[in-house]
Amino acid sequence: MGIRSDLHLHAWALVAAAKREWRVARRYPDVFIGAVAWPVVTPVVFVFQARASIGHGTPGRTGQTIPTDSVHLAVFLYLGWLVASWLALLLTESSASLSGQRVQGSLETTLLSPATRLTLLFGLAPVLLVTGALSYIAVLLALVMGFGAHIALSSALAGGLVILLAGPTLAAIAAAAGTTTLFMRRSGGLVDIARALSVTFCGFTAPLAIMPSWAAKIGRLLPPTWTVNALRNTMFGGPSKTDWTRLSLLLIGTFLAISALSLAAFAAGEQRGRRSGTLGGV
Amino acid sequence: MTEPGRTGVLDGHQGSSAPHRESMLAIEDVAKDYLRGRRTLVQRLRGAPDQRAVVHAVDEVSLAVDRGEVVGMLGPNGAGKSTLVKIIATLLVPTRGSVRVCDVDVLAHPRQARRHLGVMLAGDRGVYWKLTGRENLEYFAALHFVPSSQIRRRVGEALEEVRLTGSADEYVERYSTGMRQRLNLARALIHEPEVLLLDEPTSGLDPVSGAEFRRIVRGLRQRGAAVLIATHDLAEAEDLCDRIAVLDRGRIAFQGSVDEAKTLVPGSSVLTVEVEGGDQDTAEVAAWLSAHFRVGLVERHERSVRARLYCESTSDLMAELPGKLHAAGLRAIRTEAGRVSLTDVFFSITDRRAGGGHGHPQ
Repeated sequence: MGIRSDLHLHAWALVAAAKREWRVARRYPDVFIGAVAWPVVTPVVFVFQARASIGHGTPGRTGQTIPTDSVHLAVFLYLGWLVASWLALLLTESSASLSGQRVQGSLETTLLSPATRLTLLFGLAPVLLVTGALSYIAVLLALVMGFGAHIALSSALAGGLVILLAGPTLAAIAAAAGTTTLFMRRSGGLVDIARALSVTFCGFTAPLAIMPSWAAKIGRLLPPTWTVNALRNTMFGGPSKTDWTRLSLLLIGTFLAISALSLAAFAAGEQRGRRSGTLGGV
Repeated sequence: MTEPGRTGVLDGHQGSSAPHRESMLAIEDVAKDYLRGRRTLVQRLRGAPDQRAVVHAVDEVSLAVDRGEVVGMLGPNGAGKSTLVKIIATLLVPTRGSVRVCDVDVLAHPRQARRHLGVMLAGDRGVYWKLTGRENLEYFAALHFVPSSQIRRRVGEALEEVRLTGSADEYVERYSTGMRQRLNLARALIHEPEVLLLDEPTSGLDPVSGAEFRRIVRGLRQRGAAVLIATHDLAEAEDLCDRIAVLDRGRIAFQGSVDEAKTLVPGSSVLTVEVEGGDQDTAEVAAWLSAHFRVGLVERHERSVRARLYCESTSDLMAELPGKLHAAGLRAIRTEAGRVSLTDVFFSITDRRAGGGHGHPQ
C-alpha cells in the first residue's frame, strides 16, 4: 500500500495535526498577541527614524522607491515589517515546535505512525496563516488609525489575497528551516541567520533599487521579496498594478518546490537518525 | 514461515521448542553496531584515522512471538532491550539481520509495518503535555489511520481500558507519572495493533496500576495479539509471560518458558542467608560461601554478606548450615527459605554480582 492509495488517510492525519496545533495555540494565545503587537509596535521607531533622515517630500507611486511622504513612508515601512515579523514568527515557531516535540518525545511517537511526515512539517501552518492574517489586519488598522492612511477597500482585499497566496510558501520556508534545525540538533542559530538574511535582502526596510546590484539580484529571487513588493504595489498602485497570474504561479511553484525539498530533507534526516540511533535524542 | 529464534543457533541456553504457531513477529540474526566516541570535523578534514570503537549493542538476536503469545525480554541495563524494541518499531535500522511484523519486512516496508505495530517506549514521554488525554488519543488515532467515524468510539474504549475516562479531559501536564504511562499504553493500543511492543511498561507504576497493566496485557493475549515486553520486573515477567528471552551484552543468553529457565538454576529451592564474619573481610566471607555452597546472587554489605544458596531441600540446608558456618568463624544473622524464582535465573544467566555491573552504555 503506497502513499497514493491512502491519500485520504494521510490528508486526515494532516488535518488532525493542524487541529492539534490549533488546540495548543488556542490554549496559549500569546502567539496571536505577538502577531498583532510586534508588526504594529516595531515599525514605529523606523518610521520616526526615516522621517528624521529624509524629511517630507513627494510620495513614491509604485512602492519600489523610497516614499518621502510621511503617510506613504509609514505604509512602506509597515508593510515591510509585516512580512519581516510574520516570516520571523514562522521560522521561530516551526523550529521551536519540532525541537519541542523532540524534547518531549512526541516526535518519536509520531514517527512510529504510518502517516506522512507532512503532519510534522505543516501541522502548524494553519495557525501561522491565521497569525499572518491577524498581523495584516492589525497593520491596516494601525496605518489608518495611527497615521491617517487612506486605504481603499479593494487595495485592502487585494493585500489580503497576497497574504493568502504567500502564506503556504512562507510556511514551506519555515518547514525547511525547522527540518534543518531539527536534524542539526540546534534550535536558534540557523533561524537567526535566516531572519537576518531576509531583513538584509528582501527589501523590508528599503527598496531593492537602492541596494547594491548583487544584493538586489539575490533579493529578487526570494519569496518574501515578492510578497512585500506585491503588498506595496496593491497599496500604492492599486490591485491592478499587480500581475496576479505571475505572482500566483511563482508562489505556488515555489511552495511545491520547497515543500518537496523539505520532505526530502526530512526523509534523509530521519533515515540518518534511524541509522545512528539519534532519532529521538535531545 | 520459518520460526526464527526457534531453529537458529544461539550462544546461550535454549528451551524446548513450542508447537508451531503463527509468528506475528520474527526477528532473525539482528545486530546493531554503534560507533562510540566522536570524530570532529577537523579530524575528518585532516583525514585522521577513525579511532572510534565499535559497540555491539545487539548481536545475533533471533526471536519470534506468536499470535496470542506474551514474550518477556529480560536483561540488565545496557543489554540491548530498548535497542531491539526500537529496531522492531522502525526507529532504528539494524546493521544486519531481518525483522518481519505480520509477514511485512520492517526494513523494506517500514510504513506498512507500522500499521501492525503498537509501541510503548520507555518512560512517560511521547504524548503532548499541553493537550488533554482525549485530544492526544484523537490525534494519534488519526495518525494511525483509524477511520474518522470510529475515532470517538476507539478513544472512549482505550480510555476505559486504561482507566482514564475520568481524567480524559484534563491536560496531560497535570497527570501523574502513572497516568501518563497509562495514556501511553492507550496510545499504543488506539489502532488495535496485532503486535505490541512494550518497553519498561510498568516502571513508575504503583502496584495497583501494575496489576491493571497485567490485566490489560492478558486481555490482549486473549484477543490474539502478539506482545513483546522488555522489562526489569522479573516478578511481572514470571506472572505474565508465556516465554522469556534473556539478553546479556546484546546477545540472547536464554529463551524458553519460565519453567525451562528455572532448570538452569542448580536447585529447586533457595535459602537466602545473611552471614556475619566478625573481623573477616566480606570478600573472604563471600569467597568462602561460593566455595562451599551453590551460590547465586551475593551482596556484600559493610559488615555482612547476603547470599542466595541453592538446594533441593531448604530444611536439610538449614540443618547443616550453622555447623559449617561456626567452623569457619561465621554466623548466620538472618535466613529465609523460598522457591527458585526468575530472579535466580536472571542472575544465573547474566552472572551478576551486586555492585558489579557490566552493561554497555546505551
